[in-house]
Amino acid sequence: MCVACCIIDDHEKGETRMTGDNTILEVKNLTKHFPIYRGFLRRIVGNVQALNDVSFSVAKNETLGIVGESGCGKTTLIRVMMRAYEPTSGEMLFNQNGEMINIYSLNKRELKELRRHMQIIFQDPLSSLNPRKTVLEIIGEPLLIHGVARGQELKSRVSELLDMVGLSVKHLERYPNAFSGGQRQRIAIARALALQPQIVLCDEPVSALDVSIQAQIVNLLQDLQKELGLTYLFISHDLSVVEHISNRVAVMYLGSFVELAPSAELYRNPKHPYTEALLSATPIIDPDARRKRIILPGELPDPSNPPSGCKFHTRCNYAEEVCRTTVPAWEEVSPGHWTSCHLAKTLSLRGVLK
Amino acid sequence: MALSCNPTLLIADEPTTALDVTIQAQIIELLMSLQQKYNMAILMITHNLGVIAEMADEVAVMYLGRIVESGTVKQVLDNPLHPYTIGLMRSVPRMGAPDQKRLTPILGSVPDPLAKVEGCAFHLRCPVYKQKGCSGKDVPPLVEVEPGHFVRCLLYH
Ligand SMILES: Nc1ncnc2c1ncn2[C@@H]1O[C@H](COP(=O)(O)OP(=O)(O)O)[C@@H](O)[C@H]1O
Ligand code: SF4
Ligand code: SF4
Ligand SMILES: [Mg+2]
Repeated sequence: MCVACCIIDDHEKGETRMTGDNTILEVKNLTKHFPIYRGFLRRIVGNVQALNDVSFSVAKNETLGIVGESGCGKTTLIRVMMRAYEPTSGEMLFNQNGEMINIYSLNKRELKELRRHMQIIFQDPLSSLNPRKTVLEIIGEPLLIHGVARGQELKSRVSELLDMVGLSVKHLERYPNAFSGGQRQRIAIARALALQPQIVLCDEPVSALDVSIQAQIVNLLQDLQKELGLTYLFISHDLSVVEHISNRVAVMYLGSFVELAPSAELYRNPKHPYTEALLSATPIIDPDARRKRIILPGELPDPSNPPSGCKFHTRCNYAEEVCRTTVPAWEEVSPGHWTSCHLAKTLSLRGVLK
Repeated sequence: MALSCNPTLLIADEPTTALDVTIQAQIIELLMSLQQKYNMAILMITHNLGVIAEMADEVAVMYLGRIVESGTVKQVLDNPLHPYTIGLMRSVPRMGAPDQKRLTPILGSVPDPLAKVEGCAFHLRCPVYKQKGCSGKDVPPLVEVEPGHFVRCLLYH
């Protein structure tokens, strides 16, 4: 929680960026296009613009939430950050002992070393856990691969990890299908933490779980963060969960960031019409707070043929002529509050509170 | 969404689960306009408390096949009485309430529906379980605690 305070303090001093040694990673203009092939000659006939010119930085020990609807590019962002996909352009710098290293310039061996510091948790633990391996093998695998521990030491290290995520030694020899969804997500978390990473990228980690199990996993992630000083990138399409867990939140639409701000600021004082629409569409558990929903017209445009100018203009209730012709710049409208909207300074948008 | 004849009741079984919120909002809006147009009742089945709060007039909370609490949406959500309803409300993050520092999950998990739980079906997970009858033979009856607000829990006997 102290990170949140630091960030807010920074803002009060009018600083626009976090200090270098507090930044754990920095993403600059990251772009990923998937070519679309057609015909016998497999000619490229277009590109799915899954990720476009995304820039942000993450401070040590903070949780940066990323929200956006299906297909907006959240998973692609994480995969490009893990270098499971090579980016089309852009860079990502990782703070290794004070030095900012561009991960896209690393060779295989250096990348393997870096992966120790950056781990990932997926939405569906069942498909990310090998059904034919025991819990011991699953959680122990990264330790073996990196030559950290083996034999008896491996076993005791894995037992510690199980204990940390609220499972017990008696689970060591069992297979993933013997566990419930929440327990499987605990196994996936233990595996992700095996190498003592600094940052964990969480891709919809609680989206497939029942509310009560979801609460257990959210609490576990928060406890582990405090205990181990972890940094999280927390991706979800659920705005309530993201607000609850994040210090800052970014909103994505059609492959781009459209807004980024400290959580309370983003939810109370949104500056982008898409954020306003998302907030108004999210049901609140308060029968006295029934609000007028903003219904976005039409459907999500095709990411291989995005609208000109502001990509949101085909659905935006405030769109003007300039929105159709000119791409709005990604700008800091108040300290720490970034958005890309031509009208950000003039519109008065509705946040989550009355 | 197709409606034949002039329905008087529309049963919607998790119609917005797994939808993105902007599409969910479109569907809710559609359901509510259909309701106006046909002057019909909607039975909305969902696990999303927010959707209930936004749409429903009355609500019934179910646990292991039985209604454990029912009433107007204001009665139940503003003043939940059954420990299961209270547990559900505390386990979900509430948007716009950043002072909610920590979620309180319901203990344990839903028992196997085939396993027979005697007495109150929730007693294995209930944090205030103390009444003798909770684990007894009989299922607690639904009791009206205020006009229209029913609870199936021995605390309110
Ligand atoms: N390997 C791929 N090849 C082609 N298109 C892809 C690939 N992965 C994702 N996409 C497309 O990129 C867009 C973003 O997808 P994704 O990152 O999975 O979104 P999200 O995780 O936000 O739902 C979608 O239009 C999707 O169809
Ligand atoms: S730039 Fe124009 S179209 Fe885009 S969000 Fe702002 S007002 Fe709407
Ligand atoms: S009847 Fe007993 S066990 Fe059941 S909900 Fe009430 S207090 Fe809890
Ligand atoms: Mg995804």
